[in-house]
Amino acid sequence: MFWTIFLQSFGLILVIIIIGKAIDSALRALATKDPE
Amino acid sequence: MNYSLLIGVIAYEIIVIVGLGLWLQRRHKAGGDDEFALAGRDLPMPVVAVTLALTVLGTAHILGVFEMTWMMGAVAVWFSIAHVVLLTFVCLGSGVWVRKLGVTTVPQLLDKLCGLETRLLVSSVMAGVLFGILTVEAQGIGIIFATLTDWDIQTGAIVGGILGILYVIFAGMREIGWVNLVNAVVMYAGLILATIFVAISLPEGGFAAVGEHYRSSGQNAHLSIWGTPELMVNFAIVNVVAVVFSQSINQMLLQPAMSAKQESTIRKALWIAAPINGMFGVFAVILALAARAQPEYAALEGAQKIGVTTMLVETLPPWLGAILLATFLAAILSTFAIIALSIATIFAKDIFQALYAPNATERTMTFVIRSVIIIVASIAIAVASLLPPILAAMIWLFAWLVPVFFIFMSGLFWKRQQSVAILTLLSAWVANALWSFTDLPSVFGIAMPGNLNAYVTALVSVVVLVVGNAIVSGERALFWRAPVGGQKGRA
Repeated sequence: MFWTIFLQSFGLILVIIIIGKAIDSALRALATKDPE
Repeated sequence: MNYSLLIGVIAYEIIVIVGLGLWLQRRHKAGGDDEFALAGRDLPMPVVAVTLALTVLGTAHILGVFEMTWMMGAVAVWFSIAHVVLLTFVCLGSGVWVRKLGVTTVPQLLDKLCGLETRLLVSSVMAGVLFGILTVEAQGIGIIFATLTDWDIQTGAIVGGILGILYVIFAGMREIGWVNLVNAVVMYAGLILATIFVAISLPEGGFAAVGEHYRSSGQNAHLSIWGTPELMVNFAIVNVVAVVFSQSINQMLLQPAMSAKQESTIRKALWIAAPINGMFGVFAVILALAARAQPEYAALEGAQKIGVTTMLVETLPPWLGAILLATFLAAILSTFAIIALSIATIFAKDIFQALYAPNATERTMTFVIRSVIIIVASIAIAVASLLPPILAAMIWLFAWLVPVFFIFMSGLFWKRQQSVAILTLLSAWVANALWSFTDLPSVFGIAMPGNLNAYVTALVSVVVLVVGNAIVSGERALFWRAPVGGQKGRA
């Protein structure tokens, strides 16, 4: 019970951070691209 | 409660808070720009990370999550997960933007975006909302003391409130940051040790037996952080919306970001801030599930409110009870301190300096901020004795800041127009008041409107802002990038 909740939550936290980082990188790449 | 240990806890807090505070005060004499309010904008990454995490980790994270887990099971961890989403947005978005623009308060940024009147409106309401949260935190401190001693809540709130004032009064943001760093270590040591001791003292089978208790009674959903589809919609997603839209532009959370050394400091802080905040809720959920599985605590009167703390007091050895007291106190005091500082900073910068003393020296500003901290903290302690319900109060308070989020985003990335901004603020606030104090929810057939205030203010804000921006011409967004060879100007 302990490890299931612990690992599920920890995994979810990591996934949220990684998705956030990915969106941030994509938006920054888009913003620094020279406008046509 | 063993009073020698209680004295030990209070002595620990005083030594760390006052000791570090005085040392930092001597090392960094007031005089530099924004030394007291923003630590001279040179806080390093670990301090920024821990302060961001602890700023939004207070009474609701501890007592609120205990209570929610008791009622709905492990899905209550979504209160913490919502804060992980919030910290991700702040560390990669709003926190970085306010640091980049070099503002000291959120209302000051709204001045840049939409004008002085918007600044004054938002600073008045934001300070009021922060004061409301401050009273809830003062109550939380009182409850923690009352549970673990035989003091009443009011006495606990007074003792804790004094510690909260000491947490910030010597060296402002720099003191909050460094004391937080020390307290974060104590906090996690206390939580992990408490969980181990609870596991050892559980009836045969430890946590596995707790799991079996829920499975055998047909409550499997209580063991899953995904709960049931209904709970995901009515609790988990609601929390994410309310927390992200209201807290990501709140002064209390953006003030540590404004104090960071560089923008990259805030980005890096995400990897520490989000797990520290999020995992705290996980331990709280596990402790609450363990308490509810034991008949002697489940049968207590008002078990959902006092079941977990009663189990902790009865299970843990006194020395560990004392460490846990220090742990909970550290979490709530850090929130109490930064809210008091945020209110004082808004008053000093957005009211006192903006309207009355544009040329005030850093020394004068520090004096004003210190005075306001003492005044608002004292009033909050007095109001806390009225004991408003904790979570209901927080959700209601959050809803008032939702329109500010949309004006903030529109002003940075779309369009800014003072009349539209003010109309959006007033419409959302009137809607929130009508939703709270009239029979309006029953017109829509909603029997329990309490949780929905954030949805109401979000909906009204978006509609008024989008329609207003579409109709009225305004200035280009602050972060609008002109095409090469293009021109800046009105949108």
